[in-house]
Amino acid sequence: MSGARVRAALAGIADAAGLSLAERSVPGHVAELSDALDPRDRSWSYLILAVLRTRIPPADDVVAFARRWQSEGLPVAIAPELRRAGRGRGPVARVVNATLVDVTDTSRSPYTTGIQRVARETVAAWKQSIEVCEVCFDPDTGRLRARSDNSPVVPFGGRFVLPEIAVERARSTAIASIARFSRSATLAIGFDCIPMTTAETCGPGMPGAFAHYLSTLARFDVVTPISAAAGDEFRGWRRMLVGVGLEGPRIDDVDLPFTVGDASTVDVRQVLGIDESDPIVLAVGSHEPRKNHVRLLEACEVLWRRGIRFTLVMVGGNAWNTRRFDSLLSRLRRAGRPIVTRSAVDDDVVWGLYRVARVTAFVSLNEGFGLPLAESLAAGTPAVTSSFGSMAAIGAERGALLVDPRSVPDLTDALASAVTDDALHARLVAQTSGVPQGYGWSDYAARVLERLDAVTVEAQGDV
Amino acid sequence: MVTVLDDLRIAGILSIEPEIPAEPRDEIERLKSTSSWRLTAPLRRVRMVRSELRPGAVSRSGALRRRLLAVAPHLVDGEFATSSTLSILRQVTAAVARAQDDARLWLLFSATAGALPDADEFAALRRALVWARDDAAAARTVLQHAVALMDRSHSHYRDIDIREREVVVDVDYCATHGFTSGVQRVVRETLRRWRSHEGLYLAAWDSEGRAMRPLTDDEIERTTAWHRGHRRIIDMQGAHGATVSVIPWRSTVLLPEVAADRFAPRLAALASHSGNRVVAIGYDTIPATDGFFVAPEQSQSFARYLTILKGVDQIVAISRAAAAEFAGFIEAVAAQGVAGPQITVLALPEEVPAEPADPAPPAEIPLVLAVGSHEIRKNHVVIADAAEILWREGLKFILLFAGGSGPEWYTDLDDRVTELVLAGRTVAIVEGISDEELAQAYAAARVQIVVSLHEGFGLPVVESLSAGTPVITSERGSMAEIAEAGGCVVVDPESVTALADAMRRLLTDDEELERLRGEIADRPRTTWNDYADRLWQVVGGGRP
Repeated sequence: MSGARVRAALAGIADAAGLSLAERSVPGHVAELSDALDPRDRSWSYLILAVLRTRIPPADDVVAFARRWQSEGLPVAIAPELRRAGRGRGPVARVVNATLVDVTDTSRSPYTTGIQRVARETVAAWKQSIEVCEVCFDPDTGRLRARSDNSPVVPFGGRFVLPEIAVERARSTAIASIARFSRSATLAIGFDCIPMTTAETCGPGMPGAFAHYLSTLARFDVVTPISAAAGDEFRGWRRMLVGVGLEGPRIDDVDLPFTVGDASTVDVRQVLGIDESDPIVLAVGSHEPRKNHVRLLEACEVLWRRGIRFTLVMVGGNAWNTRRFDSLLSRLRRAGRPIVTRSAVDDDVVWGLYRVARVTAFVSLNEGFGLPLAESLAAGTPAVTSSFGSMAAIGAERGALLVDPRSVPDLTDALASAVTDDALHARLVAQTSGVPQGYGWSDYAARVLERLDAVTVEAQGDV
Repeated sequence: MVTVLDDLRIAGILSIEPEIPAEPRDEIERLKSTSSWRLTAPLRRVRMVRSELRPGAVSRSGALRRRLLAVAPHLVDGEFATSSTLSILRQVTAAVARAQDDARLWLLFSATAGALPDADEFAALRRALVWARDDAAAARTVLQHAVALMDRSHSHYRDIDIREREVVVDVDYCATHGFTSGVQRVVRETLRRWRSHEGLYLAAWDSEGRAMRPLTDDEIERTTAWHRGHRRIIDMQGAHGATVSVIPWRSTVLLPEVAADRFAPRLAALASHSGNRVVAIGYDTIPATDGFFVAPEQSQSFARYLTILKGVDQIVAISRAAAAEFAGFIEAVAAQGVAGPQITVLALPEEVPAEPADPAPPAEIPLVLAVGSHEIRKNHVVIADAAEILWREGLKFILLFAGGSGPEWYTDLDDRVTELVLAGRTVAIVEGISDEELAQAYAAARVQIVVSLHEGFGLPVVESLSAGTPVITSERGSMAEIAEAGGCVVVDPESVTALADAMRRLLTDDEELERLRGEIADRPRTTWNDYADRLWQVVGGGRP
């Protein structure tokens, strides 16, 4: 029996509620809380459960606890929770009233996906100007911990930011509860709704998990999509919430910056073994179906058959459902077509590739933003890209040829002109100077922060 | 004990046994669940296929020839030579190549293979044809791709049945299942009224989901004339489909169900490429927007269903709220350069499913009814909590939860009701209730409560209203929409006190109750006949 642990927890709750406890016994503490707090404000139930359990309670538990408190009184409702807390071990959760940023995936993963780059750059930029408490959900227990000292924390009355996507069920359940009951200003960066809108290109399991993530976002204050096209997806989704009777978050687009790393000293051609005279067509991105690399290969095949000389360089990891891509790739290789593929290369080499490539081909079927396209244009290399959504928004008038990515003939013609028509190529290169200059990650992070600052949390009158 | 007496009293009001007596169908279910039945299923299917095939017709090339002869008149103008199978294929391919038309290519591919392609398979054939030097090479390419599809679909021996200029309705679920939820009620009530219409054709999918197939007589019966308690029929599911593939052509294909994963990819390609007009009934988008309410697998398969909707021509939503949900989805797909379907609203009708079996006995204690399957989204626990507030105040009433059992893991309602029963409260759960019993419950109830957290329509609300019983329902979405026309009290479904207040008023204030009953009498009436007629107009039935 650990009465001290329970008393510490109750003291933490009282402290967060702005009370000072006079009584010395646990029942005395409970009576004081019962007198001071109104069960109709469910954030108190959230606070009590979260601290006593050392983990974020699911919304259903919060509601059930609040109703029990209301009908039976706090001592009855809280009794089983106190028993469990008394049996528990380890430190009591700390109530935190600060800017919490959930970097669970980014801190765990050695890879850099587009999402993780955005999360890392944003958090790094924020740390320059404000105090940030990075938090992670424990994969095993679902506890929320501060990244700095690994201690369990409970967000209450501060700010909670989700700069990644959260698809694990335990995690999204917890975040939904935080958004609903913790009195925090909540903001999420919105990348895209692809698993809902383009499920035919997604790996197994994703659309199911994504539905949880969306249910979580439904209770957020603000979502900042990374482009106007992603914004359109989130605005459409927000409208779908009418049936649940939720207004949904404010959707406020903040475009990602166009940046590219410094020119490396690496001789990319030598590293990849590409002849000096061969123009390079570059494709950056995994070979998942959505990236449309099958049609890209088919278009390239037409060009090679027409006798146009170039090397296709594809940089990107493996993905799901690549059977067609793999078989077409090996057929073209057997036919002696110059294709270089790399699954993992240093950023240096990618930056270098953008600079030596004749043209970047980025003809995805749906993108939230399209970092490789933005990076290529920022490096002054023209692109062939899709004629809709974020890709059209990024590429139009800025050095990209826009094509219908579902049409191999259109794709073929655009690539052919980009590779062979020097006058056109020069015009496109000139257009790339239209890429917004001086808008970097710190500006992006500052704009997102402005949206968070604008959130005012209304008092919880949930009954 | 008090609780037993209460249970008996409730059972008496509804004149039903709490335990449903074993019927012959249960034995059939038992038989079907034995391992020997399942292990021998393939054998029975082979036997069935063999008996369906005509003698002497058992050859792959013979079947291919019959399919090509069946499709050629739809694709070749005028006469065509029938000397050899390959020459027919060459002529048909040449005609399709000249027309440069996706729909014709889809028909040629489907007919040649005896199965329907998915979007990838279709795109692969279209691209391969670009490299064909002449008609003979093009015909070889078509054959190559068709054979690959045949191998995957086991369709080598199938005949095809091309349904031209008809209304082809995909009733895969209703044809093979007895269960009735809201969706199946819409399908069965509609098709029961359409069954003698000219130009109606009902189809399901083969067991692997590669081709549409005709319905057996049993399945037609189950779709158009089924009611709960109907004798279950042991059917040869999929056996008939192993001999005939149905291909809709220049028809309207109606999707009145939420298409299953099994055939979603084929249906998506049909919606996008076949040239058929495809119309879907839109119920709700709960699995996409409310992930916490459903199993992840359901969200997963619903996402595949949404990919079909990107290619359909029209979504007929069952309420304005449902229409808004689908419109939101269509807005979201604009970012990928997809125009999406037209969305219209055809609200479901207000009609009780059946007449009460017996006139309701006069109730000594008022009955509060909550109809709906027992799952988290239906928000039933809040009703039990609100009722407890009123019981503590000394009000007397019986609370009855009637509806299908939900997922096994959801026990919150059972737990809460058990707790209340042990405390001596007059509350019970009844599962597996028939339409007649349900009608009787509606008629006997003083008030019905539907405070679901999300509904595409809310059939129990209108069913109760059409039985003359006022409803306490949600202030949100489709339920608020139904409430507009009167007879309802709307509340915040998440507020236990607001619900308790509304219940108290309707249990104690007879004038208020009479006022609501008066409003119900003034509600505009629509029936399943109206709904079926209007939907038939939407799908263009009866038009040449």
